[in-house]
Parts: sequence; C-alpha cells; structure tokens
Amino acid sequence: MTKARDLANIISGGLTADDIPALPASKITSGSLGADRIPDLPTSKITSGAFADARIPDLATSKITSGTFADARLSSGSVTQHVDLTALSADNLTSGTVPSARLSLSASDVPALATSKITSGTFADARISSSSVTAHVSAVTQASGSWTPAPSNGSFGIDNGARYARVGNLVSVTCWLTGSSQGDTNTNIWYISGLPITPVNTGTASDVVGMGTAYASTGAKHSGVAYVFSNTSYIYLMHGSKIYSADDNSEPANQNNWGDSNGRTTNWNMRGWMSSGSDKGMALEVTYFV
Amino acid sequence: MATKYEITKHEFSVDVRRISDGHSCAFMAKKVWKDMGSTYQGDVLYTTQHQNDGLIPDGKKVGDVFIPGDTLPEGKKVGDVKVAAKGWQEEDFDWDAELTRVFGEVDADVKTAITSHFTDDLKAKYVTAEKAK
Repeated sequence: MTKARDLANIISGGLTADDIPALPASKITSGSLGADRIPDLPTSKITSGAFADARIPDLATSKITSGTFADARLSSGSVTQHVDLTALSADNLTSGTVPSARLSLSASDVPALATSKITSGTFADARISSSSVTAHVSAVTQASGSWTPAPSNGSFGIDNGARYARVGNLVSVTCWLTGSSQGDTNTNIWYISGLPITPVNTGTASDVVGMGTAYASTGAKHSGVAYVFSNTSYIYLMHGSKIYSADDNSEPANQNNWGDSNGRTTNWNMRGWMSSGSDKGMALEVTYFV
Repeated sequence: MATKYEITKHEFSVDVRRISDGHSCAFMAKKVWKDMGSTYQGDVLYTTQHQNDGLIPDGKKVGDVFIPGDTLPEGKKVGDVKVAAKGWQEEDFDWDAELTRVFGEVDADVKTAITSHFTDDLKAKYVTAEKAK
C-alpha cells in the first residue's frame, strides 16, 4: 500500500495483499487452510492425538535406541537367523539343565566313572560277570560220582549203585546192598569201608561227624543208625532197642541177626543178612562232614 | 604226578578221585581191628517179634529154632569162650588188590602217592590212634 487510506473511503476495487495487515491466528475461525498454506512444523508441535498408520514412515533401526520390543513383535526368524545352534560352545551353557531327551551319548562320550559315582540302583544280572560274583566268595567245592562200599567181614553186592555228592563241607552217600556170603561168628566190630572222601578230622577220634540210616531185612528189627567217626572213612552201624555211645563196645552183639540184638553191629550180627537171598537187601544213606 | 586221578592226602588216609567220572575212595593207612573172639551160642528161637514181622516160614512157629546154636564140646556151655579174643590186630593193605577192587586198575602214580604217604611211621601213629578210640 502506497498510502494510508480510510477503509470507509474504499467504494470500489479490492485490497491488495499489501492492504491486509498481519492477523492473529485467533482471527481464523472458519474454513480450511489449503495444504500449501500449512508450514513445516517442528515435532515439538505434535503433542497429542495419533497418526494414522499410513502417516508413519519407515524407520531406520538406528532410530531404536531404547526400550524393549514385546516378544510378540519379534519373529522366530528374526531371533534365529543370526544364531548358529550347531556350533554352540559348552561355555554358553552356564545354567539350567539340558533335558535328558535332548541328550544322545555314544559310548565314547561317556567318561570313565569312579565306582563312587554309582550310588543308587541295581545292576542287572547280565551286567555282572560270573567272576565278579565269585572273586570275593570262597569257592564251594562240589563233586559227585560213585563209590565202592566194602564190608569189613563177609561180602555183599551193590545192587542199585553207590553214589555220593559233595557240596562244600558236606558229603552225602547212598548205596543199596545185598548180602552175598556170611562172615565170621565173632563179635569184632563190623563196618563198611570205602567212603569217597575222608571225614573231617576234628582232633577227637571218637567224634561222630556224620550219620544216617541203614534199613535191612535181618531179624525182627530192620533199621539202625549208620554213623561215621572223625578222620576215618568207615561207616559203622548200631541197632536194636538199646543205643549206646557210638564207640561203646560193652555189649558186643553176638546174634546172627542184626535185628535180634543190641549195640554196635558185629561180624556175627551181619551173618543173617549176609546169607544170600533176594530179600537180603540193605538201603543205606549217610551224610557226613569233610 | 597222576593226571587221571585227583589225590588228596590226609593225616591217616588218602582220597583218590578218578577225574573222568568222579568215582572216589578214601583209603585208610592200614587195616586195624580189635579181635573180640567168640563164645558158644545157644539156639536162636523164633519170637513173637518175628511172627509180627512175618519172618517165620511155613511149618515153623514161635519157639521153634530159628538159628541152631553151637554144638557144645564136652565141658562147655553156652557163653563159654569158643575162640579166645586176640585183641588189637593190624594188617597192611595189598594196594594192588585194593586199587583193582575200587578202580579196576592199578595206576602207578596213585599207588606211588599212597605208598609214599603211608610210611611206617604214619601207620604206627594210625594204629595208636585207633587203639585209643
């Protein structure tokens, strides 16, 4: 404007831009400003409201300098693409426990273990060798076979075998005999020799270290005690209605028949049994210590 | 040393075991016994015990003679000494006969083991031990 004029005197024409004075923003109360009428704004001027998604530009990661993304905002690929799980160092495993299902060890991966590490559970039988079991156990002697019983007087046959079995310090013998020829008519103690293994030596010769039963068809009484003394491989018999000490000879039996007298069996006693006959059998079994 | 047999020596005996079948025998050092002699015996009669056990044959009854006694010499009676007791007797074993009886053969190693173990001194000790029983 070249000179001041009184607005009342303007009757035609229009105002030029220069004729419009600076206006306070409060004077703009209606209408819309064209986009090109809005100046660039500092971000400090944006203090409320929300931008539509389309108004948010792509951001360089350099702009993310603080805070934490929620898990849901991170894709699996984003996490793993820069991690090489096949080349993990054991140094990276510093806490927690690897589930056993994730472990697959070959025999060479298992280090030598001190036995002190085995503190519970039980080994299966198949995992323990026989020698491991027996290495610290005293060996148990076992033997079995036949033996040859023989009378001290007269004779008999072995009808159904004479067998023995030994387990440790115990021996069991059996035999089935039949008298075949009579012995002498004296009262010498009669016995059967030939035990397969010498009885234990207790240091006392009169110790009985084994006994059993002799069952024979001879006279009125059929069964007697068969017994073995320490350190002597003979079987002695005692029979009748009187039982003396095993080494007592005070009543030497002087009857032909074993079953008709008492005390330790003598040559005389066995004569009845040793007279041959199909009914002259003797079943004998003795168990003794070695 | 024997290979067919296993030999175990004891104080007064030797155990011999044939390895192939386990047949075994414990041989004592010496045959030792006490000769008790004998006396004249009377008749042994059938008793009710024999009867109960069915031991009396047909034609016999309780009280009949089961076993005839000795024929008594003049001046002797039942219970008199018939054969005087000789007391302790001893006799060496014939090891050839013993080994043959038991094992059916005489194994030289076994025989050597037995005879070398059963010395005169050992046998004497065994006889002493037997007499002490």
